[in-house]
Amino acid sequence: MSLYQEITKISAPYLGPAAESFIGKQCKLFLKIEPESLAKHHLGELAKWIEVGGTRYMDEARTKELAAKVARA
Amino acid sequence: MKISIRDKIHSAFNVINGLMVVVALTGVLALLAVIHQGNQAVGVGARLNVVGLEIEASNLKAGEFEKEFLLNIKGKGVEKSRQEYAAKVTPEVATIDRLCAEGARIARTGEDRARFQEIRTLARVYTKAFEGLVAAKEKRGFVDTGAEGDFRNAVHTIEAKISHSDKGEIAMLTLRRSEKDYIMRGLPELITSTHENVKKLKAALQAAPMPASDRTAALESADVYDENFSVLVAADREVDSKMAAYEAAGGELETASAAVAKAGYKASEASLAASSTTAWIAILLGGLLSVGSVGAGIRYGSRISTDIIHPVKTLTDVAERASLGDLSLNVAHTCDDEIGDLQDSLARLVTAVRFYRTENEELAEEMKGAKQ
Repeated sequence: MSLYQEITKISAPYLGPAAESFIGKQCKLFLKIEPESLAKHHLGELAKWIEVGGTRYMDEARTKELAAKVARA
Repeated sequence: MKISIRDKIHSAFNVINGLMVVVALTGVLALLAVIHQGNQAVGVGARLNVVGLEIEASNLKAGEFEKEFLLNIKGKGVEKSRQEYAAKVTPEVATIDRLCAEGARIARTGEDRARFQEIRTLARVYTKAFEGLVAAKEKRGFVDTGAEGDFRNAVHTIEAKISHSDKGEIAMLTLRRSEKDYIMRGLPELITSTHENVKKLKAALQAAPMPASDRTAALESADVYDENFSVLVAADREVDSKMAAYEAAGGELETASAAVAKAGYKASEASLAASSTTAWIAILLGGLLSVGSVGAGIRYGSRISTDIIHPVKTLTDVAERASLGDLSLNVAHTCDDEIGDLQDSLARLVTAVRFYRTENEELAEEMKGAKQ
């Protein structure tokens, strides 16, 4: 299982069917990488962008919780 | 640990059922206590009361036989009166003794047992005192028996020996008068006066013109008379003394019998009062526990409403608004049961719909820009 798939799995309880698209979008748009090339050193940055972008769709508490989980992955 | 709605409802009903079981058990225990105390009141208190009354009745019967004995001495003589009446006292005292043994056996308190033991002792003292009185009465005798019989013989002897002396007869009549007064009234001064009159009789006999041998015989008879009179007086005193002892013993026995009857009645009353108190405590406890059950029902009903009905209502509202296109509501996770799971599912769904809707809007904007 790739790191991208793992992060998608972590995000699924928060984003449901949109998890894969949301994480993919954050990778491409802000990290400027292909989702499949996501590596451990990207996770801190990814968590930050999840926290920024996630509040558009979720409440702040859930967004912070997801970001923390991603950062720890 | 995750507690399901089913577990919550079960625990609420278990608490209420538990309280109901406690109420029922309290009721049953109170009823058993009331039955026990009722049995004590009827079985022990009432029986003690009956035993006390039976003792009193036997004591009264014994008293009746004693009085009959004393009253019938003059009519039937000491011996016949003893056989017909005094002999019946002993069986009554034996009945008192048997009842006391039963009372001491069933009595619940040391005080009551001591009362019955006291009556047994008093009954023995009373029997002894009565036997002493009967013996004293027999010793004293009446008319022809005992000390009185001996005295009468002495009177007849002396009367026969002074028939030919006028002065002697006058002195004798004076003596008989004081003697009869004593027998009727029993006053101490009449004893002295009788002894004085014996002396006067003897003086009259000394002065009377009669043969020396007759004088000597008459003087000896006067001495025998005086001696028998003294024996009669002593017998009377013994009767008085025994009578006083017997009356004191009878009085004490009567008082103790009445006290034990009252004690039985009080024991019965105490048991009934305890029974009533227990019933009231049971009513109070039952009432308090019932109120507690109602309170617990209200509390758990309110908790079920807060934990289940309120979140379901919120979820319904969110689902309704989301289905109509309003995605502005956030679905909060408020509990860790099936409702919580449903809240998470709905939150994910709303989040996903928001995301896709935003993506579509952005795509539409891009396409619009590309066309221009």
